[in-house]
Amino acid sequence: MIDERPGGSLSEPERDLQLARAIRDAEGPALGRARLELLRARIAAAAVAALEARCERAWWEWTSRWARTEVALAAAATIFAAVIGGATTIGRSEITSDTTVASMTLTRQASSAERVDSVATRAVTAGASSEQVMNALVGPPSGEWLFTAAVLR
Amino acid sequence: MASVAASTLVGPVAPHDASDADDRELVDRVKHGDATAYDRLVRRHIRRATMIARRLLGNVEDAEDLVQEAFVRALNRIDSFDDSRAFAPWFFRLLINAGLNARKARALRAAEPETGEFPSRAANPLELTERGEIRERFIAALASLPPRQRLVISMFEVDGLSTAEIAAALGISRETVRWHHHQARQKLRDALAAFRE
Repeated sequence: MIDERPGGSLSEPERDLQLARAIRDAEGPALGRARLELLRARIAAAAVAALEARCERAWWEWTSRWARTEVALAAAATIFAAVIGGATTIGRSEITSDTTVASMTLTRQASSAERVDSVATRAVTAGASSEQVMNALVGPPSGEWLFTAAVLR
Repeated sequence: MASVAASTLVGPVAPHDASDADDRELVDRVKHGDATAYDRLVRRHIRRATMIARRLLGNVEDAEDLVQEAFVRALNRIDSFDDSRAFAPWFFRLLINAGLNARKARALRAAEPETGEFPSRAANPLELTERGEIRERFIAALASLPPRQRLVISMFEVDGLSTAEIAAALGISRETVRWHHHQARQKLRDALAAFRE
């Protein structure tokens, strides 16, 4: 026995074939195939703009999604290159300094003090001030001298 | 869930291989603007959508407008569709809600009386007259049903959907579907009582 009371058990109500036929007859025949095809064409035409917009959006989203990955890869590559390049540069400089420092140290120790002394001595004997001597040896505190020298030349 | 009933309802416009899984794949392609996938979705569901729309609005022209509107609206809202669920109940709920709103919002064209052969067996003139009257009473009773009851009784008895499928399409509980079905069946059986004797 099927319970048809509302709120009763949730078994399906029994189907009434005679009622079904009566409803079907009252509703009339279903739409013909030709009419459905026309409707389908109408729907397709109405949807063209929305679908095209989706196409463009999909392309852009795809590009954006991969752009993020590309940026991440580029950043990783940059860091990697910097690490490798930095190590190479450091290595070269170390080699250079190792070879040159050893050869120059001896000559510098002997001549640098003497050269500075000779420049300073000549400047002082020529009547230059201490500031002029420092400018000659190190360079003026501001960078204007470089500009002035460039203009004069 | 709804796919079983849908596959039994679809005609030449919709192929018989409709399934929820296929629908999901099509929906995914539609989200990326695939017009062919959209067309296949339309073909699968247009027949049933038109039947439901006719029941809601009472005439073919309004029903076609509603079906078109519902399919375009579904396209515009396809991003909100939950991929883990079946497409058909989601779409038919959208269609039914739009139909119920349309009933309230716009003046419908006068419903054209649909012609159909009520009695199929041969009958004498007196019988035919009686049947004609019964048919008129039945059509009037069907038309007087509230929209949801009309949908429930037709979807259950004619389309062969289960109460669970109807509940999903209408966005109401199974108990409410059963209540609507019970009410509608009682009214229509009363109208058919003489014909049944």
